[in-house]
Amino acid sequence: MLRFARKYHKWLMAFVGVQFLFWSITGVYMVTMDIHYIHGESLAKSEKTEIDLTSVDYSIAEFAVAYPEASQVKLTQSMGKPLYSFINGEHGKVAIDAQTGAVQAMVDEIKAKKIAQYHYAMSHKMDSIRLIKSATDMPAELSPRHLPVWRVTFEQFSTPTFYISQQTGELVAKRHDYWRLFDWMWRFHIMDYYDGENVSNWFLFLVATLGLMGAITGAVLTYYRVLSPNKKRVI
Amino acid sequence: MRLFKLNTTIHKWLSLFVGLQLLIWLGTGLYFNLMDHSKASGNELRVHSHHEGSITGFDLFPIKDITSNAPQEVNLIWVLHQPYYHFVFDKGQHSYQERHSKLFDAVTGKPFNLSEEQVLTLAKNSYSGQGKLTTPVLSQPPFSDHVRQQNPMWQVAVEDENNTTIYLDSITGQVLRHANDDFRLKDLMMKLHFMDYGNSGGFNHWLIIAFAFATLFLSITGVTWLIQQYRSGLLKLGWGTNRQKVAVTFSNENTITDISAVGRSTVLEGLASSHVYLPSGCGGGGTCGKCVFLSSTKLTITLSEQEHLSQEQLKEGYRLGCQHRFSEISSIEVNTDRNIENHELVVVATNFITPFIKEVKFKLKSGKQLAFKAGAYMQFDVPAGMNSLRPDDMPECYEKYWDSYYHGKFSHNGVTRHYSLVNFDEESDELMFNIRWQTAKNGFKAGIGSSYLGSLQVGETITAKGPFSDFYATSNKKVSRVFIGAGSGLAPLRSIIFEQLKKHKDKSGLTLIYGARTEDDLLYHNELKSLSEKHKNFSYIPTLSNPSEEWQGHSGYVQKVLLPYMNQKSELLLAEFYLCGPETMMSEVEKIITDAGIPSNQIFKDKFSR
Repeated sequence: MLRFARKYHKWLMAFVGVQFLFWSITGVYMVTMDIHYIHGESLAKSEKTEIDLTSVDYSIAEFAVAYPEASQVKLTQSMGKPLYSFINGEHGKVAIDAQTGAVQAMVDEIKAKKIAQYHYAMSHKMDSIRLIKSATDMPAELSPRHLPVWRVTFEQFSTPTFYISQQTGELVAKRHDYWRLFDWMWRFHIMDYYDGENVSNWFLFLVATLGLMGAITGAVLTYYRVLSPNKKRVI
Repeated sequence: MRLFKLNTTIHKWLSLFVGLQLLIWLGTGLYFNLMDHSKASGNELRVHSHHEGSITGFDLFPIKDITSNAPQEVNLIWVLHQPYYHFVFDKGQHSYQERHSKLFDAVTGKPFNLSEEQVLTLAKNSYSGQGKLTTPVLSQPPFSDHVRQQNPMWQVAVEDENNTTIYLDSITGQVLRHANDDFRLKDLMMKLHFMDYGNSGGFNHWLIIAFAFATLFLSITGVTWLIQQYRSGLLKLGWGTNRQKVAVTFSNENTITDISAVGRSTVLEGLASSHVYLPSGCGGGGTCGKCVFLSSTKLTITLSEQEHLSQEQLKEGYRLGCQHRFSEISSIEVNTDRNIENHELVVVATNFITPFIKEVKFKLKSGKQLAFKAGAYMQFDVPAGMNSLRPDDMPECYEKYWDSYYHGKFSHNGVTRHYSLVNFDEESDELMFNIRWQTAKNGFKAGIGSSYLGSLQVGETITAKGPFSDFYATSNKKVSRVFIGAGSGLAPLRSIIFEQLKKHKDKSGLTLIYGARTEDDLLYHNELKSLSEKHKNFSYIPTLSNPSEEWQGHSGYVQKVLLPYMNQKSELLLAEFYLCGPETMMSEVEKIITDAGIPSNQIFKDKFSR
C-alpha cells in the first residue's frame, strides 16, 4: 500500500504538481489581499455628502412633465450641488441640475479631470485621460454598461484608474494593478485563462480530479509515515 | 547541509497540518466545477420582475418639502405599483453593509412602512413554485443564509420540498435572496472552501491566511522534491516493459539468484515484483534510507543517498533501492531473505524411467496451481531419518545395473536439495521431477536427497519452497536456441523446449544435443523423437558415450557432437545456448561455444550441483 501510494503520488504530482503551486500562490494572494482594497475602495474618498434639500428647486412635478419616460430616478449631491440622474427612455443616462433643471453638459476632459481629482484619495498627479465610447476600445476590466466613460489614470506604480461616466460624471469604476493581478490570480486559480468566468471548464475538472487522487495518495503516505510509523509492514 | 531531508521532512509535517483542508479545497473545488450553477444560485423558482411605473401618472410630492433629516441619496422607487421616495441617510460601499434609510409616500410625502401583507405579496410575486408562503417575519442579523448581511431583512419561509426562504429588504421590500437547500449546499461548500468557520462571510481571515502559506510551502517543497527526482533520473517517462535480468546475491544465505524485472522500475519495486523485499519505511520516497543494497558497478549518488548513507558506505558501493532503476544495475548484493512460500507436496505417481532415474510427480496439497517459468527449480526439505541404500521398488529390467550395490539403510540429519522441474506450468497440474539416485561406490551410503525423494510412495508428502527461476528462456522471439545437456541435466531443458513449442508456439529453430551413457539411460527418448517429427523447427540429437551395437545415432560426449555442429552453421552466431549437466561438461561446452565467437551473454547455464 505504502509503495503504491508513493509511486502514484509521485507520478500524479509530476503531472499536476505545478498547478498546486499555482493554486497556493494565487490562493495566498487572494486571501492576504483585503478584498475591499482590491476593489479600490481606498482609492476614492468616501463621498458622504448630504443633499442640500432646500436648494432642490426644480421639483419632481416639473421634472415629470419634462421627462415623462424617465426611470431609475435618483437624487444625489454631486460636487457641491444636487443632481437628478435617471435613464431617459432610449436616450440613455441623463443628469440634470436639481436647482435649475438645466441638463448637465456631457462631461468634457476638463470636467472629467476635475471630478477625478475631487474623488481621488491620494495626491498623485494625473497621468493620462482618454474617452472610451465603444466596447471594442474598452479594456476588459470595465463593464460595457458604463459606456461612454472617461478613463483617468494616476502616476503611481499600481496605476490607479478611475472610470467616470461621460453622461453623469459619476465615478463608475475604480481599478488598480492589485485588482488586475487579482483578476489573473483568479484565472490561474480556476484554470480559465480565456476570460476568467468559466469555473466549469474541463481542464480544471481534469487537473482537480488528478490532483484529488494525488492528494489522497499523499494522505495515505502521511498516515503511514506520521500516524503509524513504527508498525512493521509489508511494503 | 541535509537539504533533501529538511525538504522532505517539512513536506511531511506540512501535509499533516494542511492535509485535511487540502482535501476539502480539492473536493469543494471539484464541486464548484461540476455544480449546476442555476440551481446553486437558489433562484430556480425566482421570478425577476421589474415593476416600475410611469412617473406621469402621479401627482408627485416635492422632495424638498418632506420633513426629514438630510439624506445622501433619494431614489424614486415603485412598490406594488405605488411610487415612494427612498431616503438613504448613510450606506457602505456594499449593499450588505449597515445602511440607514426610510421610505416616504411619493404622493402624500408621509413616512411609510411596509405592511406584512405587502411584503407577502412581494414575496409571492417573486416565487413561481407551488409551495405555500408563511407570514413574513422581520428578522435581525445575523442570518445563516446570508452571513455578511448587517441589516434587518423580512424573512418569508416557503413550505416547499426545497425549503425555500425568501429574504426581502426591511425598508424597500426588494427581494434580496431566495435561499433553498441547493443554495445552502453551495453556501456550505463556499464556507468550507473559504475556511469560514468563524462566519466572517469572507476569505480574508487569519485562519485561511495561515493555511494558505502552509500550503504554499507544501507545494514548494513538493515541487522541489519533484525536481530532485527528475535530476536523479527517477522521473523519466517511458512506457517500455523491457525486462532486465540482474544477479542478486543474498548475503544472509550466500546464494545467488537471477531476478528479472521491468528495467524502468526502481530496484526496490523490481525486487518486490519478484517477492524480494528490501526493508523500507517510506515505500520508496528516499526518506527513510533503509532499502540498502550493494552494487557491483559504480552508480551515481543521489541527494537522498548522500544524506542517508555514510561516505564509507557510498565508497563501497552501497546505494538505496528507491533511488536507482533496475536497468542501471547488473549484479547486486542484498541483506534480506527471500520471501518464498513453503508448499506441501503430495506424491501422485512415481516411475523409474532409466536404471537410475525415477520420475516423481507431485501435486500441491492445497490444490493450488503454481505458475513458474520453465527451467525453474524447487528446494526440498529432507527431514532427518533413515534412508534405503538402494530403491525397494525398482523394475526387474533394471536389476542388472544395481548388482554391485548393497541393500540396507543409513541414517542422516536431513538436508535441503534443489531439483529442476521437468514440465512447464501449463503442461499439467502436476509438478514433475527426475530424481537421479546418487549411488555411493563403497555401498554404505547413498545420496541423502535422492534416496529420500526416490523412496517416496504415492500419497506421501514433502515440504518444498519455490519454484525459483534463474534459468529460463529469454523473451526474444526470433532467436534460435541450442540446448546442450547430459544425464539428468535434461530436466530444465525439456521443460524449456516444451514450453517454447507448446506454450509460446515458438517457430524459430530449437536444437537439443543430449548426451547419455546407454540407450537405457536416455530420458524421454521417444517423446523427444516424436516431438521433433511433429515440429519441423525442433531437432533432437542424442549421443551415447557407451552405446550398444544396434545404436544408429551419434556416439561420444556432447562436446564431440557440438564441435563439428558449431563449425558448419554460421547462423549460430546469433543463437542462444542453454547448458545443463555436469560441471566439466558445461565448462568444456562453454569453451567450444565462446571459441566459435559467441558472446557470453548468449550463453545460459543451469548449475547442475546447487
